Order: sequence, then C-alpha cells, then structure tokens
Amino acid sequence: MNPFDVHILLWVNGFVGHVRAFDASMEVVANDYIVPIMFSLVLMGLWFGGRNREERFRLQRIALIGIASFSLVNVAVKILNIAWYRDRPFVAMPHQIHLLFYNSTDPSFPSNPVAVAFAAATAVWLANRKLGIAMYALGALFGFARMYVGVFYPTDVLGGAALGILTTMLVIRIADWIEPVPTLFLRFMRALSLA
Amino acid sequence: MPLAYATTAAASVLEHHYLLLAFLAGLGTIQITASLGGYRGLWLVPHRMVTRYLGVALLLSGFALFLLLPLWTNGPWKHGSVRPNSAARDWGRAGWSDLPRANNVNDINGGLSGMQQAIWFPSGVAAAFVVSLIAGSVSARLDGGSGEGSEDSGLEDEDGLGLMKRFGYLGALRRSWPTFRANWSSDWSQAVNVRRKVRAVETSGRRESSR
Repeated sequence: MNPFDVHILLWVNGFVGHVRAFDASMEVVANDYIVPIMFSLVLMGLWFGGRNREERFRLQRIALIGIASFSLVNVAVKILNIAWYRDRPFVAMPHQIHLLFYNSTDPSFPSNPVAVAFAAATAVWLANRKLGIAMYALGALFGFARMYVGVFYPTDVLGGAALGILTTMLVIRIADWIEPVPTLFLRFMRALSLA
Repeated sequence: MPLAYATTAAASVLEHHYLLLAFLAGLGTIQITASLGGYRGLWLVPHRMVTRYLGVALLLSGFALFLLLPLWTNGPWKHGSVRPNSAARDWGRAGWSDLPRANNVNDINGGLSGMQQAIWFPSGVAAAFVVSLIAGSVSARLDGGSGEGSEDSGLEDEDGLGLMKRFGYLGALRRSWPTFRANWSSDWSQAVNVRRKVRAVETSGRRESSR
C-alpha cells in the first residue's frame, strides 16, 4: 500500500454515510450491470449510427474494434491478476473502509470494470470525439464510484484506465495488421443486410 | 457462512432481469439510431420522430425496470436483509430503501459473471434486432416505400443496412446478396491488394528510417 492510495481512498470513502442520497447514487453507478451495459449499448449504437455507406463502414469497423477490446482487456486483466495479487482495500483496511459493495474476492489491481469502460470509451472516441469524451467521463465516474464504495484503490482505477486505453490502441494496430479480414467480414455482413 | 438463499435461484432471477434490460435497452438504442440514420426497415412504427421518442422511452424503461423489479419479484433482496455483502441476504421482495444495492450480487452468490453478461447481453440485443426487423418489414410493406425516411435513401446506399432506408429486411437481403455474390471475387482481390500496398509502404518507410 502506498501513501497516495491510502490517503486518497480514505478521503473519498470517508464521505460515506454523510448524505444517504449520494451513497445510493454511487451504489447505482458502481453496480456491476448498469454502466457496463451503457458502454455496450453505445458500441452497439455505432453499428447502426452511420448515415451513409462510408460512415457506416467506418463506425462498424470501430464497433468491431471496441468489441474485440472488451474481450482482450479482460484477458490482460487476468494475466496481471496472476502476476500480482493485491488485496482489496476492505481486506487490507477492514476497520477504516466503509463498504457499500459486496465482498469481491478477485484481486484489486487493475480495476477490471474500469479497464473495460476505458477500452470501450477509447473506441467510441475514435468514432466521435464528443461522445468519446462523454464516455471517458462516465468511465471516470464509474471508477470514482468504485473507490467511493470501497472496492478499489485509486491506482487500481488509474491502472485499469491506462490498460483499457492501451488495449484498444493495440487492437487498432491488430485490426490494421489483419486487414482485409475486418473489411471482408463487414462486406459479408452487408451482404446479409446486417451491416 | 451458509447462504440464506439458493445461489442457482438467484442466478436465474438475475438472468431474467438482465435479459429484459438488454432487450428493452437494446431495442431502444436500435430505434434511436435507426431513426437518426433513417433506416425505416428497423422502425417499430412508420414515423421517424415517434420512433425516436419510443426508443428513448424503451431505453429508459429498461434501466428503470431493472432497478425497480426487486420491488415486485422475489430474489436475494428481502426487505430488511439487504446489506452490501450479498452472501447473507434473505429471499423475498425488496423495499424502496434497498433498491440501490438490491441487484448488485456477487457472482459467487448468484450474480452474473462477466462471461454470463457476455452471453445474455448479445442474446437480448439479438432478440431486439429481430423484433425491429419484423416490425420494420411490416411497416415498410404497409407503407410501400413511400413514407418517411425514404427521402434519405440516396443511390449510393445500394447495399446492406442502407437498403433498409427504403425496404424491409427481406427486400434488402434480396438486393444485397446478389451484389455480394457477383462482386466477392473482385472485392477479395481488391482488399488483398490494398493490404499489400499498405505493407509495401510500411516496409519502405522502415527502410528509410533505418538508413
């Protein structure tokens, strides 16, 4: 545990119990399902988002990159979890953390949900800068909520965000490298009137 | 600590709720984007603005239902037993104060793991897409291709989803598939040639930089 992590986390988590409505909001944002499904829906929206043939192709290619990043970032998190097991804050500091979340049993670093959120946000940013910034903001709020409810350290969130961004950048390179596979896949989907 | 409820039963309840969320929110998103893009072959109703507002309503109702369903359905969220730690809750209906944390259940206690979400989300969305295709095809057939949205259908959008600006799914498929079959050989060689050219440019760039 580094002082930066402990100091920031205890400060953020120290607000728990002061305003019940804010606690409830953070519990909803930190929920396992709500924010991840929002990111999935935005990626899905990209598939149908283009107004003409070229724009549709560009957005659908980015949606594929986002979906691939979703999968690859989970693998990357698992590998890092094997390399380094870090206890959750509520395990390391059981008497100082006010836990508003279930007792997660997987390692703390890096934050898997934040990594997934930032991987998707990076893909969305490629498609639309304004929407991408909104997705980054939502990802940051998600990470903050996870700290607030006491399940991640700040460096878990920062590490997850960095990993998510890097993974999507890697997937962009892979997509270029394996071209023409993505293009031909999209053409086949177009032949089925699904793209 | 022994569980106060059956993990498999909790998983089943949460799977249903999650699937409903994915279906409604997916349907809403498809309707919003289809109305923005003018893909009337996906519209639930043959009016662009109605489709858009319907999409927003479906999207919001998906999330609202997901959060509110524990009020009406039994699950690992019985009022009075809901604590952040989901392992020791009782089975029953939640109260209003339990809602923010009610359906946030650890996957080892009946919550959905990332893998389960990766199965149920596409399933819900696929169902939403099929519903959109059917409804869109019916409304396109009733409208005969002369209703709203058809003004967007430029000639450059001659295949794939673009055809759904004017036709239902089957109509679009009838036109897209023959084009693909006729052109797939040239498409393939064109795509491979583009890749070769990109690689050649990359290789020459590396040689230049290493000198």
